Amino acid sequence: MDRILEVENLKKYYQRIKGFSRKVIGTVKAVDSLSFSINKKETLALVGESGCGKTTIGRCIVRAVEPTDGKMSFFDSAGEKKDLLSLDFEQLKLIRRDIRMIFQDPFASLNPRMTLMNIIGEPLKIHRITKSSAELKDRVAELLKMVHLDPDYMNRYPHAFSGGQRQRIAIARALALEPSLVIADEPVSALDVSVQAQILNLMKELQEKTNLAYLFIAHNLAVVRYQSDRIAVMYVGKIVELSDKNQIFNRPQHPYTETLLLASPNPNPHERHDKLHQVKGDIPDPANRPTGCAFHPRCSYAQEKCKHETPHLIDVSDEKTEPHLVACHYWDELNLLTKLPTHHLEA
Amino acid sequence: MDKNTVLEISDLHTHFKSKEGTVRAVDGLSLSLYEDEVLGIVGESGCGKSVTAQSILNILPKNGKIVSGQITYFNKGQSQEITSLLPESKEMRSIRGKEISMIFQEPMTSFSPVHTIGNQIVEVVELHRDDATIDARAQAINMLELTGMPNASEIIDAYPHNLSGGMRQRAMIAMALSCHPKILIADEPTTAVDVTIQAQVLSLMLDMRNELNMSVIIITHDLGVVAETTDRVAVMYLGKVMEIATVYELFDSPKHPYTQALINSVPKTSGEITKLVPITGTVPNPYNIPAGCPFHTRCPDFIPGVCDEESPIKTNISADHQVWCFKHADEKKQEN
Amino acid sequence: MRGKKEDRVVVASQWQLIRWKFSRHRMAVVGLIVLVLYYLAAIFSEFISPYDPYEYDEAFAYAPPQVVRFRDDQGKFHLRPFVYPIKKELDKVTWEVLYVEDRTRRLELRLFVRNWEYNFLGVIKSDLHLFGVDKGMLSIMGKDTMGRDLFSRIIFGSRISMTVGLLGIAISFFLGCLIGGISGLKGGVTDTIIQRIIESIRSIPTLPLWMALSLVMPDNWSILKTYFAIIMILSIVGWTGIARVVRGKFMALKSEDFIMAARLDGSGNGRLIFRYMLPSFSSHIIASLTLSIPGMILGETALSFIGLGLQPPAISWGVLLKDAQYVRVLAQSPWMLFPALFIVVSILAFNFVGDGLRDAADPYAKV
Repeated sequence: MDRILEVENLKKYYQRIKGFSRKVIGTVKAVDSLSFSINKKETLALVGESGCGKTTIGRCIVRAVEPTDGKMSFFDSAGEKKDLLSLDFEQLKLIRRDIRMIFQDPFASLNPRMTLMNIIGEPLKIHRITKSSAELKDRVAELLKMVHLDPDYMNRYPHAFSGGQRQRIAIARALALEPSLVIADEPVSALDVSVQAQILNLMKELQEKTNLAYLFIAHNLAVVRYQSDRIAVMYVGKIVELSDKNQIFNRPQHPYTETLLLASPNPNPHERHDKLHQVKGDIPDPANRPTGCAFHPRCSYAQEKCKHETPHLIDVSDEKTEPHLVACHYWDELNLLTKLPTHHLEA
Repeated sequence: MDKNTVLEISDLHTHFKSKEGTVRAVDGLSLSLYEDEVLGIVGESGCGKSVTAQSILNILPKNGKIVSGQITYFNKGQSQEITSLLPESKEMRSIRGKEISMIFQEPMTSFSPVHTIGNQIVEVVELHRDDATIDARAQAINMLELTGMPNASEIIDAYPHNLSGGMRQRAMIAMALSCHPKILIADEPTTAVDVTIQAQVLSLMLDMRNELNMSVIIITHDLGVVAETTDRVAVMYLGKVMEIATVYELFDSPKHPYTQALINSVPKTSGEITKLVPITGTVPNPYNIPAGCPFHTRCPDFIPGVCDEESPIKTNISADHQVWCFKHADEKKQEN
Repeated sequence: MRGKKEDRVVVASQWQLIRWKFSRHRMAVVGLIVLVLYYLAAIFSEFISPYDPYEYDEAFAYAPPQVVRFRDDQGKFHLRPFVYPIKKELDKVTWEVLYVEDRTRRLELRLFVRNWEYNFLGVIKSDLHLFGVDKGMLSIMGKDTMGRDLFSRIIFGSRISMTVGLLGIAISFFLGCLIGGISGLKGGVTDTIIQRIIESIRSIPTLPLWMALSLVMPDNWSILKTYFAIIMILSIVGWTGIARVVRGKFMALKSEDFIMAARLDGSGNGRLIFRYMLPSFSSHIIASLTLSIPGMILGETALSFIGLGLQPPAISWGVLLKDAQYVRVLAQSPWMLFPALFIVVSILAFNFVGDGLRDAADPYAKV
């Protein structure tokens, strides 16, 4: 399959600085040696709880945050490989036409002082894509239609719109430059349940129309299952499991993935059992990550080795199937998700 | 009815006044809470679910007012009319915290940062104890232990900021339950926390319900939380109840178009992945609630001339299942 | 009707929203009207003053204010307001000079009378005044030590007193935006250093600092020169407050999603600052500028009052109040405190307007 983005050993460390002398008192490994890739036209989900570093990754890719170390390569429409970390300002500006971003809070991501025309038209103007103001207006109208908003709204200000409508505006802005990769950072978690589906379906529809790839950052497993093709599960700065979504949901291989599945509320009362009771422990502070496998203090299968040795992400699939990456010392000894009554699996 | 009712809300109207107009946040709500049950109130933002909780505890903000309706609390054969009490009256304060307790979204806001956890729990116990010989501190430690707090006798002297997120949630629940209330109201108790912490908070609340024999009202927007924890569910939209049913009946055979639409619009973590059907449009402006059934503007089964003119009346689908919708008005025998 | 209002709101720009919100703040609107009147008075001082502020008449030193009446001694009502002329008498017992009203004659107040000649803005020669009396002497707020008309002098005083604040704020604004902007945008060590400097400046007690600075001003400077020097002195401390506001806003905006979105759209730093950041907080800046004007006015008044600021023949409210320094004057001629009334009203007006602006500054706060 054609790659669009490759991330290798990406690291982002923050230093905690104290006082006037700016002494370094600690290092937060927000993202720690992370590797993954995104294929053309697919949706890869990054899922994890707060502090796992999923938002930082998205921001590193568009270089809104400077990575500490690592390698990121982007394949442009001509198939040419571009090293994202060695770009100068002008090259970066060009790359940011191909990689766009959608933010979580549609109330914060739209400038309240600009009309829709200016918000959506801004990237078109900056990159001099439209030649005249009439052309600009046509293009903005077209984009509004694409996200199912009335083009007559273009002279309105964001305060006239609801959360769901604002997120549509943000999507129109992201698509204005015809990107090939969109990083969507929790795009529906600030929205009411009844409008979440509108946005999710719109994103799918636009993917089919324009052959986009998405990096879909989220914490809600049910949303991720609906929206993505592959899923990377993250825990305190590292990927612990990465595979096709059916593998993740039906045959999880990492105890943390199992924990997430047990903890995620499912809108089906017939499947509730004692599962919530099996979740224990607190999310660690990323500044003070447990040694070895970071999940070991909460893992019910943890053994002595887990405390000292950090497991690597390895492919555990047999050759015929899609790769299934897991970072657990004992993945082949565990039989996860069998504690649930069988009708959980057949449902 | 054979089940014992502990709280009865009938035809409650709570309005908020502001410069822009009046918001009918709760608009004719009737609801019963039975002994030992977990009742879910589910709805989107602006449906009035939190205002319902504030009305029960009489802790409405200044611009909010219970305009009409009754909230009756039953205890040991006696009944107490909550809407007739002044918010700061002695009777109201003795109900609040002692008989009916509440936990909030953000645990940090229910604690004072300058006092230890223990002091704050002890204060609640001392305020409400009938017998001055009760050792408040011992009861506080006992309560913290009950919530599964490790080394409760040490944690009791910690300040809120010393505790991790999950521990704070436990301490908050311990404080809310320190007087063994008959009713616990949880207003979006897990919206601000991660899923693994949410699972622990919810299971703790269910454990405590069994331990202390209380009724719980869980207010949430998350259908998953409702499905995992409740016995009975009330679905609210713009200040009105649309449907009440047991949790199984609600998810298996939802009757109200809004309930159906809501269930069809949320993704699930199991089963076949089917295309989500979003609810069209957006929640109307609360200052300008549509006439008739408030959902008619977004309803796929909208009957012109009926739904936009009259308010639907209650239809009993079964003893435990009521729906307010004209679509079902003819199907079953109507009440009144 | 509702629909119409909503149609207007959806296309309302920031400034329209601010205007609507401000106009709902009743005290602020009153304050704004008062300020407009004050500045009109400052611009058209010659026209409004019935007398030349420098014209003295020893005969009427410490003459009290006259009461403007509509009803005469006989209880007869007159449509045109009038005053009774003032006569000087000597108390035969105490030898004290007394001013008494001469109830036999009425002096009618008229609009647009001709009196002393002036050059409006140095070009238009005129002798037309807003109001006055045909013959005799008018004293609505009393006369000062030398028999000069206090009302005319207060009106002329507003020229200096009301502009000191504005010009001072202009300089503070410039310095504050520049230094605060650098501090907020650069961050890191630069920010730390600038903040420590601001803190040290703010920790100096202002009055002694101003006094020290005004003492080194040469005596032979012209009024204009002293005036600007005073403004500079007042701004030395004034800019620090603005710089803090600007820095805070930049800091907060840097991490806003819509700023990052603009950066990802391809905006350069200049575009980010001038198209996104400045418009986001210009209304806040205006509000805090308005709120710091009173401090400047009071500063000038204080300096002139203790004799270190402007000196006669310059006229400012502080200079006028200097005459009211002595208990004897206050006891016998309390109207010498009229300039203080004007100061109080102007400062209240600035504060009300500032409050209103501050509340209206972020029209998106609760949407």
